[in-house]
Amino acid sequence: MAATNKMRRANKREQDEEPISEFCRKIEVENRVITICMHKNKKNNNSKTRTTLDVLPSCLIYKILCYLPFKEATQMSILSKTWLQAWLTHPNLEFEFGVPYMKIVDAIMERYRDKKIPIEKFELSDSSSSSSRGFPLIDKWIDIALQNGVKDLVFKVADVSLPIFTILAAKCLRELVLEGCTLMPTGVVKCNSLRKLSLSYVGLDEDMLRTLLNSCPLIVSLVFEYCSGVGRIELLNLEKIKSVSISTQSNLLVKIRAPTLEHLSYSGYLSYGLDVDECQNLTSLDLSYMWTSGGSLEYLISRLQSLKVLKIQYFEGIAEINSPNLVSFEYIGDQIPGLKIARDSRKLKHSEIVLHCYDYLNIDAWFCKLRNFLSNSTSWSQVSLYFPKCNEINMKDLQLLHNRSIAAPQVDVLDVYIPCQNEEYCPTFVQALLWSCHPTRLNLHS
Amino acid sequence: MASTTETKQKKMLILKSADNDEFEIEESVGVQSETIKNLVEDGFTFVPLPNVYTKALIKIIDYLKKHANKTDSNDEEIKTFDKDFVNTTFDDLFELVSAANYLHISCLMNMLCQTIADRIKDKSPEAVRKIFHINCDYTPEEEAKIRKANAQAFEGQFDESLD
Repeated sequence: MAATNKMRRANKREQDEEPISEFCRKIEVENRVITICMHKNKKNNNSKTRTTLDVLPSCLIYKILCYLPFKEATQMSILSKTWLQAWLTHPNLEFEFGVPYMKIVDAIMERYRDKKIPIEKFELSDSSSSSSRGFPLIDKWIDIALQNGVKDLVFKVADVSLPIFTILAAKCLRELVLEGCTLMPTGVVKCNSLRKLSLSYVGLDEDMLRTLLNSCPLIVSLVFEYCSGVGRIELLNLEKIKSVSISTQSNLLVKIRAPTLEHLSYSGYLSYGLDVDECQNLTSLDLSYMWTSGGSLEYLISRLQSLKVLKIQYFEGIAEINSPNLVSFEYIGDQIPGLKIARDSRKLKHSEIVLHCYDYLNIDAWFCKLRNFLSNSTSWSQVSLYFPKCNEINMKDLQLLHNRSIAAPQVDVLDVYIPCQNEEYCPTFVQALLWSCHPTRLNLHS
Repeated sequence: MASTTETKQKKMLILKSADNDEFEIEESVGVQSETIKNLVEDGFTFVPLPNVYTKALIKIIDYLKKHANKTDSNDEEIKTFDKDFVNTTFDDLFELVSAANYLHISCLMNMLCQTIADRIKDKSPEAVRKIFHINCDYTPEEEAKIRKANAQAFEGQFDESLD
């Protein structure tokens, strides 16, 4: 086996030598053949103490380099000719788009095309937000990437029209992440290799989305963010889908029928409610920044029998959570929610609430409300409170406001974050914290 | 006592390091290495590893034992183990990565390469040369030309530390 490895390595070196000499010629660097020796091969085998390796073999340098982002890998090409050689065939090409670098990128892409160097990932992002409308080189680069077997394509370039169906016609594409571009509606294809599709701020309409989803029926993960041309999302025939994440700033109609779905996250307007059915494997639900009329989500949650993890952020519209198999619940927000967790949630192991308090005019009432809210549910594993400053609290007022018929809350850990200038806490403030939360343990962070 | 009888029934392998130390491990632990697996499939129970030194082999056997007992519940424990495992010097990491490569343990290779890459990511070329004991074989003119050819990548600040 060692012999085959050696042969493989020798072949690899022959393969690599051509591009390196070509590159060196282009930039007028003298190409010397480099030999790398493992220090230990030369050493006397009998000696037990050994100095460290001088160098790693070039195949290992190549492997390590593959784990560096392209920009950092490029920096390493300056180390020595071995590293330059490794960099010349780096499989992940990530470029920031900008006018001064187009020639460099084009030269690199042409080298990959001419030498048929495999490309795993091709990413183009536009940091300068310079308009790149109709830029012909992008099409050329996409063609090269597809020709060379690219698996992950990432485009974060505004104002570019992508030949989406040419891209999907590639047989080995695994991940497609698009941000800011528009899609050219031509042709229909099937891309059974695609596992992840992510669309953010992409210009497309409902027909286009439907065609697109039909084109890649085996996706596992779908991200759909702020694509304004779409008012309705229907996920009906995705056989392998496991994770769906939707964010929107306009009203969306969402219909999901997916027995394989495990994770759903939704952020934004939702006046029609989420039409989620036949999702018997949905274990994790993440709802944030929602505007919706009450009722429908409670119904949805109560029907998701498999739900184990529920996370709610900045959304107060839920009144009661009744989910018998819930294991973990997390709430993050700046308002004390009106919600209550049904008392028979016996499997609940982790319940956490994170609150940012800005209500300083009525801080007494705020503490009262917090206490009432916390005692509404059996117990909380963790409560984290963020305050902008530390105030004196009138404990007498607090006691007066308090409804004595409500039981004391149970909190395991209370974390309090206050920016404290002189490291001193007002004693009544700490007293109010203890009174409203009844924590087993209190951590003060400043 | 029950555990002793159990061990006796299990198939065992002997690994011999480059410094001639021998280690007995369970076959099920060893076959996570493709190299060992191939030898076991050919009927070997004694595996000489002329490219792996004792120091690295002890750590790698630890790793294989830990990962052979992977279940749903000890996920966190293994994460902590892995974190400690790679928290070592660059020279140790290089020894380990050579050994893992020779033994063909792909999950360990991923972890080690990722760790080394993360740790050199923001370092200056001079610092990385020292870490990898690289003798630069460029002339100053050649180096300047390569810098110029990829000017974009050499903008910004570098970290000069060697740890």
